[in-house]
Amino acid sequence: MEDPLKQQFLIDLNKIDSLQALLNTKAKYIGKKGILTEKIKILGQLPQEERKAQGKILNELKNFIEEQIKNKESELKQNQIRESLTRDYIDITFPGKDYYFGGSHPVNKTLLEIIDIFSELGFTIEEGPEVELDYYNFEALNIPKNHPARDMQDTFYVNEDVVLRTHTSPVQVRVMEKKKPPLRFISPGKVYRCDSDVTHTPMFHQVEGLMVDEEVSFSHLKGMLIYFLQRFFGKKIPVRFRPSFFPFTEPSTEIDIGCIICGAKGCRVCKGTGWLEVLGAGMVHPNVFKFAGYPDRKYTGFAFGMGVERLTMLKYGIDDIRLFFDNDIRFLRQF
Amino acid sequence: MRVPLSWLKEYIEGQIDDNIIADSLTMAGLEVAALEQIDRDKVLEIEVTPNRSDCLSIIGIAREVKAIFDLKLKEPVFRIKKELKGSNFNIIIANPELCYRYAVRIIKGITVGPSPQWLKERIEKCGIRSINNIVDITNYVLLEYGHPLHAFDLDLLEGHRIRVGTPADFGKEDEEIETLDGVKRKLSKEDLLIWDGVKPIAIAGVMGSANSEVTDKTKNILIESAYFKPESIRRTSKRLGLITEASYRFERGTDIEALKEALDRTAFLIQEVAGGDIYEIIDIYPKRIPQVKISFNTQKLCKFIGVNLKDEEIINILHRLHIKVHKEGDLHVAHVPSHRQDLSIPEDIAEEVARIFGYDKIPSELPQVFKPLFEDEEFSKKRRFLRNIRTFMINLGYNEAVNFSFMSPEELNIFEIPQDDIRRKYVSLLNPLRQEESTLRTMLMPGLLKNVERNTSRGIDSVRFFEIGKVFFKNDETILPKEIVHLGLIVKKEEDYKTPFKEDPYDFYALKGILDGLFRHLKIEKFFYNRSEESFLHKGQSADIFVKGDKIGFIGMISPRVLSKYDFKTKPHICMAEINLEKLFSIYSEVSYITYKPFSMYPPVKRDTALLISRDFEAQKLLDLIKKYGSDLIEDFYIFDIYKGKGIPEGKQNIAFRVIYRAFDRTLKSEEVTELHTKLIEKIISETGAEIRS
Repeated sequence: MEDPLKQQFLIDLNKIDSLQALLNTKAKYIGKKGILTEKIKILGQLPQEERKAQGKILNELKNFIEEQIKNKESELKQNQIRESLTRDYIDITFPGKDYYFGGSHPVNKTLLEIIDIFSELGFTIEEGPEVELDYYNFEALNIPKNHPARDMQDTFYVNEDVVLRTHTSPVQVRVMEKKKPPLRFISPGKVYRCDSDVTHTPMFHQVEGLMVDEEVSFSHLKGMLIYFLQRFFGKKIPVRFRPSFFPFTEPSTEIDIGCIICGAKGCRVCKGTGWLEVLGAGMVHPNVFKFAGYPDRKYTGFAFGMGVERLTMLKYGIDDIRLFFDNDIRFLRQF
Repeated sequence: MRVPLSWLKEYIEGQIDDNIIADSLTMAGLEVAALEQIDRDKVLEIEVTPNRSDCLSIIGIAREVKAIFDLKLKEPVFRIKKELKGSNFNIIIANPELCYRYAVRIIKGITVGPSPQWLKERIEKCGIRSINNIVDITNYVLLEYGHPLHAFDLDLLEGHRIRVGTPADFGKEDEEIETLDGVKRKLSKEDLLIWDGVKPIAIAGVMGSANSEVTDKTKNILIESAYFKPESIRRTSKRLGLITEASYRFERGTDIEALKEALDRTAFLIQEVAGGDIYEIIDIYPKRIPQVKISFNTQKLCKFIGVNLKDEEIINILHRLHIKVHKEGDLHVAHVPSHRQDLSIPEDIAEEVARIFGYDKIPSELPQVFKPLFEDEEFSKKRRFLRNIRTFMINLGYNEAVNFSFMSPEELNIFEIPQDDIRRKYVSLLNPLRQEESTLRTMLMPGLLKNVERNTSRGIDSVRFFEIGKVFFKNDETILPKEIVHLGLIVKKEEDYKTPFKEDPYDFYALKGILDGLFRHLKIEKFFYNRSEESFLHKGQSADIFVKGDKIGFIGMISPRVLSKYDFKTKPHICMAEINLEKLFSIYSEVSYITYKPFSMYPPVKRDTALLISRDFEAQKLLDLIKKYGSDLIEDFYIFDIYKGKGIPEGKQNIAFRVIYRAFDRTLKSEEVTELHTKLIEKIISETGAEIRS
């Protein structure tokens, strides 16, 4: 015959549908003042024989109840997890919180790309002031006052001796005044020209580069710049070197790449020539070394300069330079 | 320089393919920017670099073609059949420093009229308007030889003489001339002028005067062919803002030796088209330009370019360019012809050799061995610092803006910047393009605010921008201004901004959180915010930012007064911040290397408390009090709720905060923490007058 207490417990156990109810039932039977606990407490009043037999039964019952409670608890917890998995359901198609949608300015993105390529080639970075002495911007670069080459650049003046630098080239002389060869650096930054129309903005970015040592040749200039252009525009880009003129280099060259818009077939961007000018360069003019205070003809070197906006426009197919400084978020978000 | 192919080919002996001329010229440094088909002729538009004034002529280009293709030059053949003597005319060069040579021919009895068709066509193809046969011939020879010529009406010249000099040379202050274009121009006493016996008749090398112009009535003329000092012509032309075919060539340097030939050619052609009798040349040549000789070492030259050429090959290339070479010991000496004033050093010779040899044929080589170079440590660190901040901002959802470095002083007024503020020490440009861009910016905010305005006008509701760029302050001690890198942040949302989430990434606290995060990211600890003094910010919602007691910037909502000055059709909420990154960097630099600190493995005990406190109580005070409490067992603490309004008594606010206790060496007992926390709360209450909210 089953113990009525056990039967009562099993009935109660069956009714349990929550952890709270389970705790209540647990307390009812085996809590501090539970039915079974009370029974065990009064065991001592029984005669020894009976106490022993009754004690065994009660202990077994207690173990049984504890086990049943434990099982029930585990069952309830499983149910609860199952329920919560169904209940705590979210719409995962709902958009995420609007935090992580920033963008790099395309010009700075290109600048960093250029810096990275030249860093691999062992170039360091140098900087110079944007408001520059006429001396460094022109004279020390072999462009005296009243020289027609000044027409190549429309200059913003602060006063007779101070200009907004028209190119990043003044950094060349500033660095050479301080450091002896070997030199290998690029100098990125903002430059200014008194010019504003569809294809010109009064401020834009350039990267200047200089490599000076004993026995640097025009061949090296070609090697380095072809390497750079092919890293930047892709291995297969055709590159050509045209003779040109800059007062601070001799020989001078302008460097074209095969038009990437039309595949060198001739289009509006390359004006039908199939070529796009992307770099100006040349062997450093001995007068520039002289201005820097280097001994005559001891060193040779090459210098180059590039317009960052132009490279960026070509790379991303941007057709209006003014977009760069308009800062429309719909433009910036694309980079 | 526009060059009709049909004309060009007249000067070259031998056949060349039309299709490769353009490309070959480009690859020799005379960039053909465009090729235009006119009738059955092709016209090359050649961009002549400023050093190659010798190529501002058809013959000049022909010389190049000849050198590139190794052909022969066919110079014009002509002969003045008869020269009359006794023109009874004097040339006086008063200033041989500015006028090295001055030659004239007089032609009497000409007939001025329209030019013949061939003449008209040729000069018009080159972009010069036909005027009459005399002027057209001077222009024709200018195009042919590259030497400017000028014809005066001889009968309008007084005193049987030409004088060359500045007003100063003739003891005058300044002069006024009505030039051929009908404009009265003031000349300074340094400008070189051409005078007759009594009056100025031309601005030398720039433009003639109306008072001696060749017209339909002209019978007798005087043709000028001269050499003027390039710098002088340039100065005058620049100052007058007057650039002519003549001044363009004179300021780049003309061929002093060729001017006689050009004069003869002009006289000859004028006689052909307009008749008349040519008089003997008068040629005054007080100052000679010595012939340039350049010594060079062929081996050095090859090494410099990176080619392997034999001496004969080099000499051959130079010969093709009319440069004679002779050997002197180990060296070769190049004799530069008078039309190549651009050549003076061995590197110039190297360039000539390289470009005729062909830049494309020079091998390209990557130097294989590099000596390592090191960047200045501080500079390098700063570069990484700026890059780091940039990446940080982009990753936090900000878009990078780049603005011009200009501003208008008016913007400082709109921003109500005080008169004695450093931001008023701006640098002005002498020649700004526009009033709005007349000075260099001293703050980033006006530019960023305009970006926001523009985006808003285009219907963009929410934006977050940052800019890292320089601002410029005039410095009284140095010639150059101070250039300081700033970080600008701006966020904007519309009044009807809606989000399904509680967080608002566009409010004051969002921006402040970003700055806090940035400082922590940079391991800068000692920063705090004080109510801002900036008048362009909302008084109640703005702060100045201090690091180590030094103000490095501001943060706040824009003042409604400033906002009203901008063209917003909507009701934007704009919050902005600007930080001096140079100052931040100097503090960042002082942050010593990070050393690892061990941390506790024992469990923490958390205590949450809500206080009812005066409404104007600032949260920072509460945080400071907890910090000052100084218990080693407090690991962290933060405010998790601030509430004012319904259910809270008037003039009060509810601040709830959590303190986390943890010991390094043991598990804390609940009673121990309770005692500690109770004491903390009592202290806060006694210092602030707060009440515990139950």
